[in-house]
This record gives sequence, C-alpha cells and structure tokens, in this order.
Amino acid sequence: MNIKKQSTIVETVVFLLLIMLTLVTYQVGKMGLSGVNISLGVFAIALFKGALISEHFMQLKHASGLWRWMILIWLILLGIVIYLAFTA
Amino acid sequence: MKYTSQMVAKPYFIAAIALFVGQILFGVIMGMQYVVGDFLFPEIPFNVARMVHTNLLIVWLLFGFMGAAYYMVPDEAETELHSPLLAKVMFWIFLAAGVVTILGYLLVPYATLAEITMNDLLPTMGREFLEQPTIIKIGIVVVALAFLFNIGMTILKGRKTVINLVLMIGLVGLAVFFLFAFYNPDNIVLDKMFWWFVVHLWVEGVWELILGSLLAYVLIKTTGVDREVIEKWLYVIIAMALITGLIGTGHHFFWIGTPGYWQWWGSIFSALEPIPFFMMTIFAFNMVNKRRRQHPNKAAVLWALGCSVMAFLGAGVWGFMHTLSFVNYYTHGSQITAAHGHMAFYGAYVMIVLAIISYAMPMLNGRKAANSMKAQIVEMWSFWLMTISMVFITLFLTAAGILQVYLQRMNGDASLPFMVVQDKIEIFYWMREGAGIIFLIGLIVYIASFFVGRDQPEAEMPK
Amino acid sequence: MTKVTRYPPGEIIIWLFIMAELLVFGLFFAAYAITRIDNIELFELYQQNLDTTAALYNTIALLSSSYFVIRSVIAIKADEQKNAYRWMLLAVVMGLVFIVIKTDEFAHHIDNGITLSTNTFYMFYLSLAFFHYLHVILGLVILSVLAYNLNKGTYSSKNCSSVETGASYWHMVDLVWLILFPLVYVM
Repeated sequence: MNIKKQSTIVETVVFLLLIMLTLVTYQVGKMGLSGVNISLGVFAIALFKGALISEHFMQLKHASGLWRWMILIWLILLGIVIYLAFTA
Repeated sequence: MKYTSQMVAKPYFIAAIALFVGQILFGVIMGMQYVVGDFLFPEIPFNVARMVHTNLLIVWLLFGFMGAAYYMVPDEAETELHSPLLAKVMFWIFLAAGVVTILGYLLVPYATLAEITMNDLLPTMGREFLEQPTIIKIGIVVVALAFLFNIGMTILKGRKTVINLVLMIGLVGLAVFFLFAFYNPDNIVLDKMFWWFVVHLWVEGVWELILGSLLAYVLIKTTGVDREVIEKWLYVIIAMALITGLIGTGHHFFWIGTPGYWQWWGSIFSALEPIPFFMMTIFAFNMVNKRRRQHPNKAAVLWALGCSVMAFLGAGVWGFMHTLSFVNYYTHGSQITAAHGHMAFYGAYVMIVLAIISYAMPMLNGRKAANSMKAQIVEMWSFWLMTISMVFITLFLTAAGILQVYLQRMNGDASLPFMVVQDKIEIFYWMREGAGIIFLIGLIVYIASFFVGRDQPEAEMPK
Repeated sequence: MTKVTRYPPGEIIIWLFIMAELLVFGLFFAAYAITRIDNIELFELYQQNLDTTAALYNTIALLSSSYFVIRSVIAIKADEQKNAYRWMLLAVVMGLVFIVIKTDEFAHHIDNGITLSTNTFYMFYLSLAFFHYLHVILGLVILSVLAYNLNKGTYSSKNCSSVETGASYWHMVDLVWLILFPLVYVM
C-alpha cells in the first residue's frame, strides 16, 4: 500500500525562516548594536523562533490543550522574566 | 504469602520497631535536655543522646529496608530467596553490631571507644551520623554486601520486574555511597564535601529509589492497578529524583569553602528536588482513586498515602524553604534545619517502612491479607497520633527557627548571641517536647496494634 | 461529543523529561538575566570575548540537524526506510559539527585560563553552555541509535514511535540553544 507522504513544504519554509532570523540576530551581534530595545527585539525574535520549533518542528500544532501550549507558555514566561530583568 | 523464605523479613521488622522505640526514647530525652540543660547529665550527655538517636534512626530504617526487600523481592521475582540462612545470620550480626555500638556510645567515653576500637588504624570516627567505630562500619559493609548478594541472586534467578530493579539500584547505591564514610580527608573542605556524598546522595538520592519502589509495591498490591501504569510512574519519579538530586548536592556546598558557582548550581537544581515528591503524591492518590479492588488492609493504604503527603511536605516543601542560597545564608544550621530534617525523615522513610510493615506483617503472622478491623483501627490511631504530633514538632521548630534566625542573624548590630536567643525560644522547645511525648504515645499505640485483635477475624473486603 | 486528546508525538514520558529539562534551563536563564541586572558592565565586557561567529555556525548546525530529523520522521512514516536512514545520518553529522565547534570554543577558554570561578559572567556562560553541550551529546547518542536501527530496518510507518520520541528530545535541545545564543552571546 502506498502511504501518501506528508508534504515537506511547510517544514522546509519554517527551516529557511529560522535560518534567516538567525542571521538577523547574528548581524545585530556583529554590528555591536546595543541598548535595551535592541536586546528585547533580539529576544522577541528568539521567542518567535522557539514557537516555530514547538509548533512545526515538534509538531505541537497538532496536539490538543495543555500539550500544545506547554512550551509556548514556557516561552512567554521566559519572555516576561527577560523583559523585566533587562528593563530593571 | 507465596514463598516461605519471605518469613525472614519478620525478625528484621521486629528489630526495626524495637530500635525505633529506642530512637524515640532518646529523642524525648534530648527534647528535655533542650529545656533542662543538665537533665540526665553526666550519665547521658546531650551529644551522646544525639548519637544514639540519629544512629538508631538510620539502623532501624536499614533493618526496615532489608526486611522490605526480603519480603518484596521473592514475591516480585516469583522465586524463593537465594539463602534464607544467610539472611538470618546477617540479621543477628547486624543487630549485635548495632546494639554493641549503641552500648559503646552510652557506656564508654567516645575517645576511649575510639582507642579500644583502634580507630587510629583507619580513622573514620567523629563525624555526624558516622560516629560508628571503624570496625563496626566494616561490619556494616559486610552485612550490606551479603544482603545485596542474597537479593541480587534472587532477582537474577527470577522475574526481573521494574520494582525489583529500581529497588536493587537503590540498595546498591546505598552500599556504594556508604563507602565514602571511610574516606576522611585532612582538608576540612573536602572532608565536608565527601561527607555529603554519604548523607545527601543517600536521603536525597538512592534512598528515593528505595522509597519509590516500596511505595509502588504497596500500591500495586493494595489497589490492583495495572503494573505497567505503576512502573511508568516509578521510572519518571526516580528520573526526576536523580536529575534534581545529583547536582542538587550542591545545596550543601554553599558555605563549606567550595567555589562560589555551587551557590548557583546547588540552588537551581535543588529547588527542583520537590518535584519527584510531588509526583509521588499525585501517583499515590491517583492509583488509589483508580483502584480495581477494595483491599482489606486499610491501614497499609493509609500509611502509603500519608507517606507521600508527609514526604512532599517535609522533604519537598520544608526543604525548598531553605534550599536557595540567599535564604540558606541566614537559616543554615538553625532550628529550621531541624524542622525540615524531622518531617522529611519521618514522612519519607519512617512512613514508607511502616507502610511496608503494615502491608506485610499480617501475612507474616499467618493472615491472608490483613489484620482484624480492631487491630487496624488501633494502628490507624497510631498513624494519626504520630503524624499529627510530627506536624506540630515541625511547626514549633519552624517557629523557633524563624525567631532564632531573625534575632541572631538578621538584626544588624542588635543581633543577639546564641544562648540569649535560645532562652527566648524556650517556649517552643517545651511545646516541641509535648508533641514529642504524644509521638511516643503514638508509637506505643502502634506497638499495641500488633497485639490487639489477634484472635479476631481478618477484616474483609466489602461485598 | 467527547473530546479527543491529541497527544504530542512520541512516548509521553519523553515529554515529561522535556518539561523537566526546560524547567531547569529556564531557571538558569532567568538566574542569568536577574544576575545581569547588577553586573551589566561585567556581562557586556566579557560577552565580547565570546565567539559569536562560532555560535552562528552552531545555530545553523542545530537548526539543520533538527530539520533533517523531521525529514527522517516524515520518511519513516511513508515507509521510506532508506531515506529515513539517510536523513537521520545527516542529522547526526550536523550535530557532530556542533560538538566540534563547541569543543574548540571550550578548549580556547581553557587555554586562556578561564574557569567557572573567573567571574560571574563566565560562571553562567560556561555552566549554561556545558550543560547544554552534555544534552547535545546525549541527543546525538539517541539519534545515532535511531540511525543504526533505521539502517537495520527496525522501524516502519506502523512502528516509529521511538523515532518520534528521539526527535522530540532533539528539538528540545535545539530550542534551548535558540534561547541561549541570543541571550548570552548577543543581548
């Protein structure tokens, strides 16, 4: 029986997006840009990348309830702590 | 009871309870000495009473673990114990060694004890909880090795269940880490660091594996829940215990002269040490809720559930309260430590041993599954007396500790000296002693439960 | 209508581990950020000693590795044993790239006499990086075992839970690095 293979387009696009966002972060670091807003912007990108990992790589977009949200909640909580720490 | 060799557990359990009584008697003596400083001085000085109290605790818990293993392993492995004779011989050797040690502490000045036991040849005496003469420590190793051999051979020739394997790993770990008791570096920093390899890696490490496997066994037997479900829980619980507890050892390395990064590692990892205990509580209640049968031994179920709760409170919550380095900086070595220590040991280890004894003893005494309802009711009374009084002991010591820490360490220039503060918290010590007496009464009631209702029929499962 | 619980991929037990690991790393990240508040100059100064370019390569290596793991999982679910094996092998290779680069970084620090006790920034950086490094090694062991079994033909579309379990763990390792890199190297 020929099992219809799941399309790999979404994951590939997500992967390329992750690489691009990584390069952006790297550039910011290389250029030596500083300041709280830059830092928080960089971290926001990191959190977004994290969400891409959890939703698409870990396939949690298909999971229900808390299973789907557990990592997203972790990212949000971390975001809050980092925000508070960097703006203190 | 399917295998006759399980009977060897009985003397171990009896010795355990007898030594438990000794432990509490000396606990009550010390509680008195806290408030009447020269009580029983010079016959039983405080430091001697303390050695007796703590050493008896460890030894009776070890008797309990061994008895538990001798009862559980043949049943789990579905084969007779490898050598019941070896188990009986080791019982008498261990008991004799224990009694001789306690008598040594009581009858002979400690320095003399060191001399006559030739401590000089391989010095291991003089450290807290490890006060035993070197030759006794060697004896403990011999007993432990014989025990591991016996249990190991039984498991090898029989069914290897997850419970057996986890128990075995825990017991091997217990023996291995005890070897650090022989390592006594001159450097006081290293001395203290390696001391914790025995103590922490025991009670916040391998002993938790023993606790988990005993709890899982009692729950399988009394609830009838699928073994696979219980085994999965057990794996997760011990994984969390090891992940948090191994590097969590660092919460004992804050102030002993080790590098500063331990304050971070120790705080972060040990902060998570309550997790396995929390899981054990959920695990225990979940299994009992989902039970497939009403087991007639209600007392055993009560001990098991109570153990999970008290272990979480005493070890998990009270432990967490003073595990972060910036808190511990102020509370280290205070009555807060004593509060945590008492509830943690009682909740986690005393109660699990009492749970397994509660489960096994009726059958070791010839019953099919449980004692008479009368005996169980008396036993359950003892559960509440001991548990509630322990809660109060802990609360009183916590109050004493908070006051002590504040007055002695947090009041800047107005900080008061140690003895002045002890005077001010005396009321809590009196109340603690009162709770301690009730605990002793609870223990007496517990022992009574073995003697009442013996001629009455077993409690039945409700129709 | 009864609600159907859709579980995440792989054995549930690995998800409990994942949450436990994320808890520990999360606490460490939080401790880093909070400690930084009173040590901004120190942190910013020594942060500049870190090799951001090496970290970039590492990030790309881990992201690629995660992507290859996904391709492997999709392949095995379509019973493409050979492809699944090849993708998993590639994933392992990229993971090894991370290890090589990171080991070189650590060697460089050791050569310069930097230890956990050098200063608070280095204590955090080395702790976090090394702790993560150990998880990469564990993950690579898991992926290697999966690759070996894929080559043997152990798994199939009906029996691929182990592959998904290992994959989930590896994505967690990737996720942690995605936080570590910007937080410690850049911000």
